[in-house]
Amino acid sequence: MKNSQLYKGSLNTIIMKLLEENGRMYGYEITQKVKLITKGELNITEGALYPALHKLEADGLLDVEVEKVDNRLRKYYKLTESGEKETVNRLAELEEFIKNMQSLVTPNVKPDLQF
Amino acid sequence: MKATAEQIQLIDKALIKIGINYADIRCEMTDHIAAELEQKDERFEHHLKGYILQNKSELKRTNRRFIFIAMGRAYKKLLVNMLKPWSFLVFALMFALGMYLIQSIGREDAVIALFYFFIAISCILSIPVTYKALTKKNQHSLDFGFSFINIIVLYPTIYMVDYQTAIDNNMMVALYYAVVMMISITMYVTIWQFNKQFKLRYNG
Repeated sequence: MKNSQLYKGSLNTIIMKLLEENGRMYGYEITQKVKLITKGELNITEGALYPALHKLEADGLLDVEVEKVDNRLRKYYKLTESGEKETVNRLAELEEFIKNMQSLVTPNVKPDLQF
Repeated sequence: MKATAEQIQLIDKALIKIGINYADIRCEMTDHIAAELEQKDERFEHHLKGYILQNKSELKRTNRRFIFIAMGRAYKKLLVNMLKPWSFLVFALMFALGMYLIQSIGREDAVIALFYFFIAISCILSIPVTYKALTKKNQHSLDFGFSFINIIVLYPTIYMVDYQTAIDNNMMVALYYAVVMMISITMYVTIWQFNKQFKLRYNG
C-alpha cells in the first residue's frame, strides 16, 4: 500500500465501500479492484489488507463464507447488518474529512464544487 | 493458468516451512498467493520460490498480526460466555460443591479433593486441544490465545493447596475454586464453539 498514513487510515472504509458495492469479495479480488479503480496508484499489500479484514470480522462488521474454488478454499467477506450501517457512517465521515481538508489545502476552491 | 491441486499443496508446504502453522491463516494466504501466481507464466515453482523469498518477512509479520487479532477475539468471546447464565450456574454448582466438601471432610482434605477435581476436569476437557497440538492438525489461530489461560489458572491453584491454611474464611476458599472451575469450563466450551464454527466453515 502507498506508504501514507492518509491511505492507511482510510483502508477500512475503502474495504467496506467495496463490499457494499460488490456484495461479497475475497482478499485478492479487493487488491485488484482497488488497483483498477485507482489506475494502479493505490496498491494494497496483503500485509495491510488481511489484518484489516480480520479486525473488521472480529468487530462483527464482516461475515465470512468459505467455498472451494479452483482446488483451494477461498474466504469471501461480506458486510453484516451492522457493517452496512457502519459503512454509511464511515463514508459520511470520510466525505466530511475530504471536504475539510480541501478547504484547508485549497481555501479558494469552493468545496461543494468538488463533489 | 489455474493452479493444480499439487501446486496448491506446494504453496501450503512453503507456508508451513516459514512458520505459518494455523490452518485458517494458511488457507487464506494460499488462496492469495495462488491467485497472484496464476497471473504469471507456467513456471509455477520458480515464481512461488520468488514470491516466498520476496515476501517472507511480510508473510511472517501478517501471521503474527492474525494471531494477535485472533487472541483478542478469543478473549472477547470467553468474556461474553462467562457472563451467560449457564456460566453462573457452573459457578454456583462449584461453590456449593466446595462448601459441602469443606464442611463434610474438613478444609485441608477438601482443598486436595477440589485440586484433583480441577486437574481431572482440565485433563478431560483438554484432550481435543492437546490432540490437535500434538498432531498439528487443524490448528486454528484462535487456539493460541487459550493456551495461556490454563497456565495462568493452574499456578495459583497449585499455590492455593498450601496457602489455604493462611485464609480464615472457608467461603473464600470455596469461592476461589468455584471461580477457577468456572473459567476452565467456560474456556473449553468457548474452544468447542470455535471448533464447531471452523469445522462448519472449512469442512462444509
